[in-house]
Amino acid sequence: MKPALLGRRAADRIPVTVGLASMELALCLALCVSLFLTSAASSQVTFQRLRNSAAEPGSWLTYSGSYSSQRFSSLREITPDNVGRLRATWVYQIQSPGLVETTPLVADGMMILTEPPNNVTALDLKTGRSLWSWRHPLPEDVRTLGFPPVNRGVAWLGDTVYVGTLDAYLFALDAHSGAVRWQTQVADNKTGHSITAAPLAIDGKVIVGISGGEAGIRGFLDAYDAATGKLLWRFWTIPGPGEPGNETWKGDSWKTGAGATWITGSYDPEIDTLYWGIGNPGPDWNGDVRPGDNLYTSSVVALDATSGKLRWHFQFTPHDTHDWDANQVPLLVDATVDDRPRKLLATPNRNGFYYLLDRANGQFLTGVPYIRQTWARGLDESGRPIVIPGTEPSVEGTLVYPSLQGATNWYSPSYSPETGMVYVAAREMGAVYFKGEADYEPGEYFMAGGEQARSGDDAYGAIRALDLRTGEKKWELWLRTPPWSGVMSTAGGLVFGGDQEGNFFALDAATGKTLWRFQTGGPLRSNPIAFEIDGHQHVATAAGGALFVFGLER
Amino acid sequence: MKKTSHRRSKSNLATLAVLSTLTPVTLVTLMSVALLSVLASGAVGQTPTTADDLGTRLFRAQCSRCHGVFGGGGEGPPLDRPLHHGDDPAVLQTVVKNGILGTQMPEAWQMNDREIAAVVAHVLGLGRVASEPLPGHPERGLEVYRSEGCEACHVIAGAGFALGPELTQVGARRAPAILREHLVDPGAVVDDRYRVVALTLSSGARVRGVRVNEDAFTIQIRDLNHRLHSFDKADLTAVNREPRASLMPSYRQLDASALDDLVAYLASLQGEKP
Repeated sequence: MKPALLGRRAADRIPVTVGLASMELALCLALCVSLFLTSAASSQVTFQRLRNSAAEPGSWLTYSGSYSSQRFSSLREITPDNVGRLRATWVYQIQSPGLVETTPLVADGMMILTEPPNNVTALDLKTGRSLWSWRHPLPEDVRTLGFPPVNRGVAWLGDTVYVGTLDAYLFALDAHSGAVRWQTQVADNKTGHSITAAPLAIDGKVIVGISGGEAGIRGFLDAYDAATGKLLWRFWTIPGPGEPGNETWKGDSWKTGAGATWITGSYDPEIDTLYWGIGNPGPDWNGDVRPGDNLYTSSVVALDATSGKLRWHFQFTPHDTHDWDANQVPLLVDATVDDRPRKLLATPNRNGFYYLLDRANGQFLTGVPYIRQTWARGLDESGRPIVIPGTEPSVEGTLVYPSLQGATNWYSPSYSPETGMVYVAAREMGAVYFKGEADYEPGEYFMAGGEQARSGDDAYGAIRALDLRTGEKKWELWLRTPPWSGVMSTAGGLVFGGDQEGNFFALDAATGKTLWRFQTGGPLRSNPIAFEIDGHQHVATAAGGALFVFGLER
Repeated sequence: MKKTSHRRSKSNLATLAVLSTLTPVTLVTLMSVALLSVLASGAVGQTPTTADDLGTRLFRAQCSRCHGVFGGGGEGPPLDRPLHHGDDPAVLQTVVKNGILGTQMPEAWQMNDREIAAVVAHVLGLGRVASEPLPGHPERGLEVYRSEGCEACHVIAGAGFALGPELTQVGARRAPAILREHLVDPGAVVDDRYRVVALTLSSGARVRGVRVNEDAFTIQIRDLNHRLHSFDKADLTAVNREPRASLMPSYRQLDASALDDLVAYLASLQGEKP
């Protein structure tokens, strides 16, 4: 750890990315080379570190904190007893306008975050001072169909960070300077392909999900060589002719079947398997043109991470017509179920049900509603919903709970092995769903309808704690409006979360009691993280147009 | 193009500050009320195009709950007469597509351009009726407005106090029948922004007023004396939201001609802000 060196290097290198006279540049480069030689070893986020992230809770190395995506920090310094002494350590003002949905990464004295629309910034962890910033200019006609121009974070592997852009490129940047090592075009943005999710870095590979579920894309998940940017494999989320699952589409409807992969998935290195949520079918609200289950939309898929081949899938919402993407972060948990140790996958889904699966084989174990839902009588023994007739969108409008934003959304859930509870920011909201026309034009909306959501006092939100095995609600915190921010649990016995009203709060993980809160002044649309500065636990979240870091007053 | 943006910005400016009494949500909830009242009020335009027509189907499904099945108005303004935004289809398509900021007119992201064009064509095809003559006299209505003390809670063109919605443009945004309903039964439809709440403090004391803001942990209300109260919910023993209550008294008891005059006055308020 050489914070002084990092700070020095940063000060020297800031101008590089914003343009500098050549003499100064030469001087700077010379300095950088020498500094690189002295400190390169201090920021190598190796696969081994990523795999053993629980062993270094002072860092936050990957989007969900670990490959199991529990968004659980094993730090214990901040507890229910002392959280009342939590104070702001520093605040970083986001330098560009737009919604801030980033989850920062923390390692080796640096914090690396993204700013709208797809800028990357490195901060000195100790002070919040900027080290470097990288900007990727977007074409004026960049297509972001169905979502705001946001970015949710980077992946970090070795001394390189990886970021996807709204115009569907993947960039590899030097973690020390922001210099571009390589770039590759993932897809054509003119057809509505885009990237908002943080990539996932595993052993030598960068896994990248794609957005465009409202543009009639054919979704995929890609793996790129982390060193070169070469495409290693592509898994099509919509099977083509001759492939299993293609029979769940009619005619050519698979070609515009959507199934985006726009939220970072999870990884089990022991069995080299990726778990990734797949988005809604296209068009969203008119299923007439795509009769069938529409695999693998609104599903979770388990993929061989080396080959990209499908191991199994589980479809939460067959033939979805409510835009209930399964683009949530799957929680990977190892626990005993029915007196047997099992590899589990837990996920509160957008369709209103909480699911527990065996992730070794995709077997359905449990599924219960965790919000008010009015579209299914329940799930059958295989986990398939028993749909109530007449709940499809219609020209006249059909009132259904939950709304298309779902019972939860892209922001992260958390699991605490200490309490055995799954924590989720839940949305209690209905909507009148409309069915419209479905004409496909490349690069245009392909939705065929929409909703008018019930808002105001007809909707609300909650932080809910669910029993991992049964989904039973253990406690909840009422929120004025449906939230857009994720949660994090800690070994200290806390759950951190935020609301649209600007509150960042700490709850007792066992009881849900509010123990601390801070009014940030802007809605939270982010996920909390935890890490250490100088050996002391801190937590951070984006809120409004700023990033806040908190630590105990000492 | 210039004309378009001018019109739009003007309308946004005007509507931004005009407080209304319904959210889109409540609108959905009250669909049947609005439809019934519009039908009952006889605010029916000329014979519409056939229901098979795309624009008609979309209008009836997605617009009628505020503007009336036949465009006669309701919680939203009537569309079967000269339109506030003019009759240029391109301008109207932009209004439909983007909605009107600060009002309950939502953006229509759920419709594609062809569908929006069809809706606008339907609106332009609605009957163009002259505003129905109202029984009351606006000038006398202004006197009623003043003598009843309405200024204590409403702002018109910069004058008055804003405990309730501003009324500067209310005549352009509400059909007369709806204005009358609100006067007679103010609690029937109340926007979330004017939600009445009654709070019980740990001491047992009670405070009642209009909710100004609220979150999971705190609540801010303004009482009938316009006094602001801010509480940590931990210090309260009860928070009672009263969805069917308004701080506005009912004017049911007003004599019929005075009520007609008051409605006529409110309906005449189409104006710009000062």
